[in-house]
Amino acid sequence: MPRYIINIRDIMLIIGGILNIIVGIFYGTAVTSILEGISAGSCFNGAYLFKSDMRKYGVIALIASIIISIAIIPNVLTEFEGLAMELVSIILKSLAVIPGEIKIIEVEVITEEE
Amino acid sequence: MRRILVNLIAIIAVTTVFTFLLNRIVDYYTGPKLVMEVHFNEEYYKPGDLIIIDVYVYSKEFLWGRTPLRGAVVAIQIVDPRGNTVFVFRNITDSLGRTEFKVRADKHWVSGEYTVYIVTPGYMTIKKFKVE
Repeated sequence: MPRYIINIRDIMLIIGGILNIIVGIFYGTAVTSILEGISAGSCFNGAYLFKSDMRKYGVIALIASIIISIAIIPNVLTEFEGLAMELVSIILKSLAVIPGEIKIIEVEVITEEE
Repeated sequence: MRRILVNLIAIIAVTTVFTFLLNRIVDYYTGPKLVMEVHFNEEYYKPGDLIIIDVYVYSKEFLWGRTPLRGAVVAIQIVDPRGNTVFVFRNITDSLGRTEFKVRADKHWVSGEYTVYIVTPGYMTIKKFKVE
């Protein structure tokens, strides 16, 4: 039976990056959209570096992403949904930075045999 | 190692360009087509002072920036703290997208916060100033 490994940390980082992109597209100005893009890119880079067993660099990329996200917050203070998404994104990225084995679920897929 | 570095740069570049382009498209098609800037010569006025209100009207560019809008009709209404209209006028913008309104704060004007409604077809903005 095929087994799939789902890495929760990767999912958290992907959701965090996607939230950054959504805030950049819908709630920011041109400048904040560029910053959100860089933040999302750093977040995806973090996930990629974790996958490539370069945890140290992955943490650096994620911290950069978190700092950029925090710097953007004053620009989205008036937009409630944008602010909420930005905060959720920061929380997800911060949780992914914390070391620990919270992250792996193994899923067994049962297929019907003919 | 070099391949990883190229991938990292590519990820950041693609994400940034994607977010920026979609932001510009959403901003252009959903927000107002005009941008209006209003400047007052002072923040507080006393009776007898000349109030000069500079209004700049621009049309939005697709990706970046804005161009001055010539010939736009701009109307202005000043309402005192009691809700009475004390001044109404209209002007047309010049080639720089600029128009100027001048009004003298009358000695009968009550002190308090005055509201200024500035309107051009498709856009309205509200500003405030104080008379002491």
